[in-house]
Amino acid sequence: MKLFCPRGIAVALTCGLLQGQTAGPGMHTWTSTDGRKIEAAYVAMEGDSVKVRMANGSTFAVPLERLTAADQSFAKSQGAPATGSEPGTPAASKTWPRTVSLEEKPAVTVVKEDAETHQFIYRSPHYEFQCDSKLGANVVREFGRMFEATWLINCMLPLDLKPRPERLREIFLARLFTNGSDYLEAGGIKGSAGVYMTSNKALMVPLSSLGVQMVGSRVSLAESAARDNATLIHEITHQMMNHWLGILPTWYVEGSAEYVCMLDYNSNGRFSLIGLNRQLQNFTGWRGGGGKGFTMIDLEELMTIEFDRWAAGPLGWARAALPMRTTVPPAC
Amino acid sequence: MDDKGDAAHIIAWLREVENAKSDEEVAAATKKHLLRERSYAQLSEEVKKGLRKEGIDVSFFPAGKNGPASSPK
Repeated sequence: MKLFCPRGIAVALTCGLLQGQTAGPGMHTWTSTDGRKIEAAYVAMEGDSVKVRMANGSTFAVPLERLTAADQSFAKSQGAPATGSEPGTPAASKTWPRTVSLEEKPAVTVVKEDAETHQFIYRSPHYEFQCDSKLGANVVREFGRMFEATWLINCMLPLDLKPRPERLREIFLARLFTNGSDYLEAGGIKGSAGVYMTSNKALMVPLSSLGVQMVGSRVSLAESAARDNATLIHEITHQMMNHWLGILPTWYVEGSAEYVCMLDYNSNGRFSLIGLNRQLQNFTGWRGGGGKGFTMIDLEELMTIEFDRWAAGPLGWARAALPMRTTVPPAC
Repeated sequence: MDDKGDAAHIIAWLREVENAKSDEEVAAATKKHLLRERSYAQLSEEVKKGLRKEGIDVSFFPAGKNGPASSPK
């Protein structure tokens, strides 16, 4: 079978256009006053030190006085955030990263745990998780890595998309549902691992997609399914790009979300961009139903299509494309 | 498809689209940075060739004749 898969073209085309060199993310050669050199990316200024990130993801602070005058100037010049970025948002990398990973599990605070009203609210650095069951900070810290890592890669890709929460929100919101029926009632899509709803300015996720199971009041956490992770990473990327949704054409919005969810993701919070050819082959095999070939929507139509037509058109390609937005594993 | 493989064209396109005030400006940016004097047919051929190098065999439905969700090879 040769499969028609507009979802495939979106990601394939975007990958083809985006795929770049795989140097370290914003790597810079730092030279100390005694002549030693290291390759590391600038992260932030911390008082009289500069925080840098090594290629393996580890970070540390270097006192400015131990660097050459040129590197001191370089560090200070990097201090201002890029135009339009949220404070604390890492600047986009100048070159294509090989890996993007969290330094450690995200810090999670308990905002509210009210058993009477079934309101349980937790916060990681960039996400608020609102749930109807008590999860505890440790559980949120585990699955929160995927949300935080997806935020980080969307910040760091050289596309410079500057993720930021929706208007009138100070933090991204994810609503988590213990029961699948409650997820559907709130607008979730049957069979989906999650969905970003622009109207609610929230990502909606059934707990089962995160590997969380509730047995009475007990919480157990298992490894979430790779396909659920991919779906959620796709939807999280849409949320990261919320301020672009009315600006960028559909093919790019969907293609870029596919690009990020195509990447190898490790549950420790690490994305790998190494071996993109292999990753693209695997991904198109999965999205395209296992074959190496598929037929795509006419390119001009794809690059000029409106989302409503894309999602709701009467043709076969629209039916095949609908799952892209609703996160159901595609039947295309 | 993107010249040197450094995504420079699509990044330049994004910066223009970011500041575009109309659909016409978006279309002009697409023509300038993504099509770059190529027709969609030519770009389709380049996409096919580029993906074939990646081990992926793609073809396109003719314009206006996009087929069903799946079709026999």
